[in-house]
Amino acid sequence: MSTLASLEITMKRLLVCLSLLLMMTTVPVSAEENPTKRIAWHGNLEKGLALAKQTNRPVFLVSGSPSCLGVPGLW
Amino acid sequence: MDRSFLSSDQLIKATRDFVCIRTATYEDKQEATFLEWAFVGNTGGSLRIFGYCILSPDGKTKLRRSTRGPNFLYANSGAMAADLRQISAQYSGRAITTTSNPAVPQMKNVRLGINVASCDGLPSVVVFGKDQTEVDSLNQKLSGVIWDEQLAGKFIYASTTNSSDLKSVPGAGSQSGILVIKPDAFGIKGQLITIISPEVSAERLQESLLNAANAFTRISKTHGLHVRNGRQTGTLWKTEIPIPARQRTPSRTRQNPRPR
Repeated sequence: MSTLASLEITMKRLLVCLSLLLMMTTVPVSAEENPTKRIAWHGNLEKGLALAKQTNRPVFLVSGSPSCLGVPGLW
Repeated sequence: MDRSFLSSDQLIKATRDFVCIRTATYEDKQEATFLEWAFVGNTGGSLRIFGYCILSPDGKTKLRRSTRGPNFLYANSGAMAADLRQISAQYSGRAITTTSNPAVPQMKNVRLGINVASCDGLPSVVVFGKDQTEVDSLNQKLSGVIWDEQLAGKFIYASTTNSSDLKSVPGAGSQSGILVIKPDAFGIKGQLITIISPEVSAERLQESLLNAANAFTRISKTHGLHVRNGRQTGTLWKTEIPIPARQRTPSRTRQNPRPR
């Protein structure tokens, strides 16, 4: 009986280890899914302002540098 | 830029009644003059890296005071969304639809487009044609589908007729089309995901873009580590206009240590 119980515990541990291993190999650690909705930005000030005037919509203006301490790829 | 602040559903919904313009601060001299008026005003000083304000539709009146970012003005995105709704209610503007908003929101050039795409964790779409007529025709096609709620804001766009603008993207630049590109972590290089044919139908174009948007996974970045890696590998960005002296990096200022 004790041998069976010990075997059961070993099997459970093995299953936990296998599950963890599966998670580590299938979940990308360096990638994220994109959110479903995004703000639709106009990247060109002149065209954006012209559109606002044309459609009588107020302007949500944001500016940022696409580099940090000279390194690109980050706002 | 605080991504979490600007990514709440109610805030994004409220922005649809605005024309949302996000410029790259030190990348255009003419834009910088306007940004100085909008963000610096009469207070003096130089243009800061980040700025935010709300303007009237003619772009001449500030409806809210300018700050370094919306999170400096509002306690949370819910408060900001409520204020945006209040502002837009005063105007009879038309919301984004394919008929009222036909323009593709282009970045100034491909180089900037790929970098901004990397910053946002989005794919870049580059319209590449043999001449301006072909580029205009492809942009016309794009404009008919990209303002759909499923696709709005999901790509960063740029156009070119010059294949050398695409030298940082292996496999691109030999055939015309709508190129979907995955930017690298630094937004300096790109990987060609797909080329959509110039002859594509509107339905097929929408489907292809939707597939690309849904399949795309952005690269996770840790701010400090990213900057350190960039500086160690010499992966640096040259802005179009000089960054004012007070924005310079601490490492540069440390070159002249204070006397003790």
